[in-house]
Amino acid sequence: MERFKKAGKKITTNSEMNVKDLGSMVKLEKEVRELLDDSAERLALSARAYHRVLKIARTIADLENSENVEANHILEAIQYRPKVNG
Amino acid sequence: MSFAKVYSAQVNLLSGAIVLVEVDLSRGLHSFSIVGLPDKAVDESKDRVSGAIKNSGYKSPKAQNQKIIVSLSPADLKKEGPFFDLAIALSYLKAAGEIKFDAEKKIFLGELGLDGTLRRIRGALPLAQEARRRGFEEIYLPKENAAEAALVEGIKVFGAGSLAEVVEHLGEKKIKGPSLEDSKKMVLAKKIFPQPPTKINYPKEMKGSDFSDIRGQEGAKRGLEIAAAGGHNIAMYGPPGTGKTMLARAFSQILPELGVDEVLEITGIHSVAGVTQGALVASPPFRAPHHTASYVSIIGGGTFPKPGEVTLAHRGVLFLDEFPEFEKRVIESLRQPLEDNIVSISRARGSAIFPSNFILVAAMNPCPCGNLGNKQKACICKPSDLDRYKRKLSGPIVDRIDLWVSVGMSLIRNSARRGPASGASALKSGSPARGGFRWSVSRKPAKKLQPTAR
Repeated sequence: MERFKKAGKKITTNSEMNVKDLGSMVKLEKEVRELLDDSAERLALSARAYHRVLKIARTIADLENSENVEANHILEAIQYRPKVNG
Repeated sequence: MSFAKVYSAQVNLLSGAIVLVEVDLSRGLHSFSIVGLPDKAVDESKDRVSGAIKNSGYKSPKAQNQKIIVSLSPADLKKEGPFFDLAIALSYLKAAGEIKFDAEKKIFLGELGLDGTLRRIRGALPLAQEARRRGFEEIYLPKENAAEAALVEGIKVFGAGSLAEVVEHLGEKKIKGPSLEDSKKMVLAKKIFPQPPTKINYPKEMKGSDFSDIRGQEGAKRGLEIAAAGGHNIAMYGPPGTGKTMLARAFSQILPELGVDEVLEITGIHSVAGVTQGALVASPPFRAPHHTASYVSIIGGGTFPKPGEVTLAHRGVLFLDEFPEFEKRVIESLRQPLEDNIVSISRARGSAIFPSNFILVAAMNPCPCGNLGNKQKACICKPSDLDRYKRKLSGPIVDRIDLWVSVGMSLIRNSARRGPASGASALKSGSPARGGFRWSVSRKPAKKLQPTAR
């Protein structure tokens, strides 16, 4: 899990990444980014929710030993979002 | 008449603070006073120290016409707890000329019994860390705490059973009567030795159930697996009796192992809170407060801020069963720890920032009766009850929990026969049961995506 955090970061888990880390450590393909932006718009995700989805997607990708966050990782992350009204 | 000083330390919030103990003796009617903002436990140490000194074979401070003033500095730091008994006793004996020793670079910690035995203190680890940081070379403390303090490298740790043992170790005991040879022997027969550095033993045997004991619930297991791997917060909801609590308990077993620094960090926290009982905390803590828990016990607080459950769960799991049953105030107060991984507590007598980097695992029913959405049973809740139940969890809190998984009724027949025998490995190969979730909305982008994804 921690292999990509050898960049001198003190954090140990994906959930501790801040927005800056997300920008530098989580690279998205153009289509994937588009998909995420699309779904965010459709689901009215807040900025925080958007980043949280990204972090979860990163974890899912890590679990599958995938270097990049793919579309299916994003989709799985999104479906864990709370349904309306908790 | 005479004067002596000895160093000690006390716990201040989550770290240690070095305290200088000075004793001054002067002639006069007997009095014994402690200055330097002592609390009740420190003030009462007068009597413990007097008793311990008398019963260790020295002249009781009460038996002589002398005024004893003990000063604890820094004078503006509130002194709490029984950390100073040993230091006060030793500095008195030194001032009275009963013993001689070099007190420089030494720290003395411990509560004394009336018979002179040393009793366990809390916070030995952070105190030893602070002592090393401030350049002390030796630390004397009750032997129950020695293993914990010896986690700190670069300082000699001596665990002692009683006041007499410490005095003998320090040597140069002034003995009236016996010959020189006897006293030499006493110096040679030192009873206490430096504690060898403690190694961290990770528990190998897993206690309790793990994922392999839980059959079915693949969707929930997948969610928990993601939460454990990435440190995300997770909430499980479903009707009663479907294994939410069991899953949460198994969850703590699949967390990654702690690093050495993390073990030191959380052992220190638990030691200050007095919950370790002298043992190391080598596996991620699992805290499961009951839903009647008060605001202060969860977040921490008090006149002098003390850590609460969120801090005790640092680097581990905070499991809140029946999440909406917690007080509204408690739930809302989780906002800061969930977002910033710290909790700052401000009180009139000081403020504190405690670490609280935990994984929140919440479990809840879909409604008060538990049967909402269940096909076999009818939900008997009134609409107003449902409304109130929902409103208990505010949007900001719901938003901060990343993963929501539904734990449905598993069909006994299917899960009992065909469930995976070994948990984690089967988990990884199995695909997350997407169809089991009810967020139809998330499928829309899925359909749209397919041409590009494949």
